Amino acid sequence: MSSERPHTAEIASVRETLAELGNPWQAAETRMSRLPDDWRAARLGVPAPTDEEIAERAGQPSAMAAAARAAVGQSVSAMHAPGVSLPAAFDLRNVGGRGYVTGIRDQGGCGSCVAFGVLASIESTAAYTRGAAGLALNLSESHLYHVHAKARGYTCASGSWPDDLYSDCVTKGVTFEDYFPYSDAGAGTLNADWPNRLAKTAGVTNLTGNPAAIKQHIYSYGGVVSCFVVYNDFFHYKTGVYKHTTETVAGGHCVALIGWDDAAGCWIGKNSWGTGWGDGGFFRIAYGDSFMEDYPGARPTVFGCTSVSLRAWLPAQRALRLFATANDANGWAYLENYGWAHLAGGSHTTTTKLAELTHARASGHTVSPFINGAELSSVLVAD
Amino acid sequence: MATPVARKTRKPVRGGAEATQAPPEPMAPAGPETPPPMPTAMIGTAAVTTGRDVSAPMPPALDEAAGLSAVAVGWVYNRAITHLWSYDASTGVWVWVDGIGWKRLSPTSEFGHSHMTVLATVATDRNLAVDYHEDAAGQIDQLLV
Repeated sequence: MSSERPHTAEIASVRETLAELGNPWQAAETRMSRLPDDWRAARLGVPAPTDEEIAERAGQPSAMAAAARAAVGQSVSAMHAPGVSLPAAFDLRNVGGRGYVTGIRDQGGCGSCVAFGVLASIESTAAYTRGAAGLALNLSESHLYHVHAKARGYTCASGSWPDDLYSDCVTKGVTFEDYFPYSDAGAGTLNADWPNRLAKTAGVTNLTGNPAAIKQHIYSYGGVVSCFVVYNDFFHYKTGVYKHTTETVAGGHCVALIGWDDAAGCWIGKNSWGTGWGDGGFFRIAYGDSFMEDYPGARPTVFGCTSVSLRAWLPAQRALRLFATANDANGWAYLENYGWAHLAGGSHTTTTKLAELTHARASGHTVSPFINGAELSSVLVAD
Repeated sequence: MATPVARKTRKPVRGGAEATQAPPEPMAPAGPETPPPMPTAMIGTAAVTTGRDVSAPMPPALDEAAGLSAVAVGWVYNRAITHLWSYDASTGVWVWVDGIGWKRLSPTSEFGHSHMTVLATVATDRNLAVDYHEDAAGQIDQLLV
């Protein structure tokens, strides 16, 4: 066996174990498999738990799995939820034929996974709570990690925690990717206009240790960020429902959970290791496994948010519906890739905006909107 | 592109004379070409109206059988507006709803009346279906095009 390909022996060993277990998942050579151990570890950006912390959680996996399964049928009251009770399976990538999960990203050789997990959950919530599958929000992990997290003293080597980074998304906000494109080294410059191209979150909710609450949140508001323990075989995951086959811990990692499947007994996760790992960058992991619902230690590690406000110009899109009432300044537009937006600025500007928007609606011209919170502040209609 | 002007965010308040009814919450449309969902349950309350001005002119009869329509109170879906009529008052616009008859746009506020007139005009011009809400006086107080 070639010394340049030590992972082939690793994968063979994992496959052997999986075969004994009935092949619940498939191991294959992934882009992570090919990395040396220290490069793999560099991508694990959650401080690893101690052996004692893991030992203290011995009964947790089975308890979490039971709680996750028991949640089916639980009533749901949130406005955005597509049903009134938790279904046995749900996947934000396909809700009535529409997807609310943004593309797979690649964190590169930096322990910035928490920024990727947090922003994956925010991007999902922004689209899902608006019923706007085409929103295609792409927020800047560089801004969140190399600026906000750095200000807290976090580095690529130190890793970070989702409560801190979510807090920054509430108080400071995160700009769009095109204003500070991601580089694992933190290279590049933040666009000085970033306060005018910003997403801020509200309603951040701690869901740690409560599988039913995690499901409720995903179903009602979109994806959640979660930390878990990475065992050495996880790097070779290709498809299926992952359950760790080794007790060798590589470190801690952070991802977004975007759905579940009770029949298979698993969560559906979105990773940040590019599309060359896992099932196109996604994975399924057994309920309770790897402490996904409650990371060993005292710190809460599963969070979601209930709303995302934007302040930015959005791409040109159609105004599909217009709405007005007998009240003074109550005009609304339903933008194809955003959803309903209230026309800002009072009675006179509502009149002028409605004039522009009715023209666009009737002629098929697209509208470039400047969104400020839930308000449509400016409208550009052009050929 | 012009620099956007910061504006104070204003959250719609529902109910009361100063209410700003929000449009129906959009559920996930079925496909990219599918328009947002029809209004379902009324969100908020209807605008408070001043009632019919009995001294105001009435629109001309277009359909003797239909005449002035009965009050529906609530949402009416997927209708066509085929005629517009106005008289010399700032809130004097009526619309002819195909198959139903003349409906006055609520005179609750001049601006609101104008906004609904703009929508009714484009609906007529482009043959766009409308959904509308009638208040207790049988006037249209919410219009979705």
